Amino acid sequence: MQDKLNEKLSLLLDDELDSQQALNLIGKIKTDADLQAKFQRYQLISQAIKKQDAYSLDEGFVDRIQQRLRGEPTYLLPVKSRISPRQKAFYAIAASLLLVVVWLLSSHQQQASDLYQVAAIEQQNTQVQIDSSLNDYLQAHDNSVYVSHRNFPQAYTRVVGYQQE
Amino acid sequence: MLIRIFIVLLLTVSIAYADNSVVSAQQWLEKMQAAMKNLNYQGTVVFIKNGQLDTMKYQHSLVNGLEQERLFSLNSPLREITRKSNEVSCFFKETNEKVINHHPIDSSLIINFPQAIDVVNQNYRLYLEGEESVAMQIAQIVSIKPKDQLRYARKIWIAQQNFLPLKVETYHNDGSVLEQVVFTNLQVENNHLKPDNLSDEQAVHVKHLHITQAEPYEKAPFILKNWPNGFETVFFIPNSLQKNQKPVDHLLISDGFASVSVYLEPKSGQGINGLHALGLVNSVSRVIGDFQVTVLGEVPANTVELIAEGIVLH
Repeated sequence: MQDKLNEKLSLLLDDELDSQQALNLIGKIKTDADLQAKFQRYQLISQAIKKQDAYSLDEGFVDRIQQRLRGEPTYLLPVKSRISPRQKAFYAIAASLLLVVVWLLSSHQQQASDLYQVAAIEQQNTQVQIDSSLNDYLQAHDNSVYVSHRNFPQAYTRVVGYQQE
Repeated sequence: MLIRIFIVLLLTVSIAYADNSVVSAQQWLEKMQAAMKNLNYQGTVVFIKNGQLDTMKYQHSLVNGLEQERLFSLNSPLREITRKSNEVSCFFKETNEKVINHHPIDSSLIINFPQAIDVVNQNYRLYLEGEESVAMQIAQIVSIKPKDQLRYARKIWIAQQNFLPLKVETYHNDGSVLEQVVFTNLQVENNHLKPDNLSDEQAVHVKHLHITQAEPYEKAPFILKNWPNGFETVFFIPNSLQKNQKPVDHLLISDGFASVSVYLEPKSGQGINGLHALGLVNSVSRVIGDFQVTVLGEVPANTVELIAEGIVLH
């Protein structure tokens, strides 16, 4: 009801209310002091929006607002908890599971790290095997291998090994 | 009518010019080959391979009709590489080690070059590409471009004065330089050069490669189903080298500039599979039954892969 009245006030200020309703509302405003005050506030707001002018406020304006706020009653209504006991139990189980997952992951990472080290060593051994084979093959393939010194440290380690055999 | 005659004349002149250009490039290579073999010369040569730079003193002599080449490293590891015709030895000064490779073919330490230049035309296009100075000598650039993607392109800078190669570059298929061999000085000598070698002391440890005799390719225990165009058998040597007491069979094929080796040996452990690259050289290993096969050569990776995929055991 109040909202409807406010809407009518707003329409009246915007000159969008039909004449019959406007007359009725003006009649009410004349007799109702609160409605008069509201009408004036709406008028001011409307003017401010339309003109975009800044209005200087009197010194007591802020104090009056504060006084009104202090006069407002305090509502101490109980706030109903959103989490039910069932939900609490669910969260507890989830947290426990999370802890287990974290523990398992850290354990797996350690294992993965160990496995990675083993794989790296295996790869290194394979690489040494490949390098050794390729050195043999390069020497047998072409004379140009002797020119590049990069091949030699391994080449001659292998030569020493060959002689020891 | 006059226009037609002019066009025919123009075409004839351009064809003649093109032929002359090809022949000229081939002639430059033929003259270079003769100069490399018959002259006595020495200089300093820089090898840039696999991002590594090696500077060496170089000598070439023709003694009693036999070619001799020597390379001495100027930096560690000190070593001397000697080629007497087809026997190549590498002596390591610091450890008194020596590897002797009884390679069945004569092959220069500076550049791999076909015995017959005319076969090059089957697989490569030859161009003349202007002149440049290398080691204070004016050089003619000869460009050797492959007709397919199975081999690398090369350029040779040939000295105009004596036809010796002053610089050789090998290119990846994307155009980047893979290897360079550049002389910083090169002089022709009238007499054959007295060896100034490192190997005065007796080598303590000597290793021999390719001791056994070459056999016909038909005796190889495998066949190459994917034989790349233009490649010919150079040799097949059974038990060519001993690796961990295991004999290794060695087949070498070549198109003159590029050569590819195929090695077959009994498999050790799980065997090795995969592609490996070392600058110009690509190799691919694969296990076939109880054997380990490795194809290796100064050709693009796709060439060694193609050959390896087509290997079938008898």
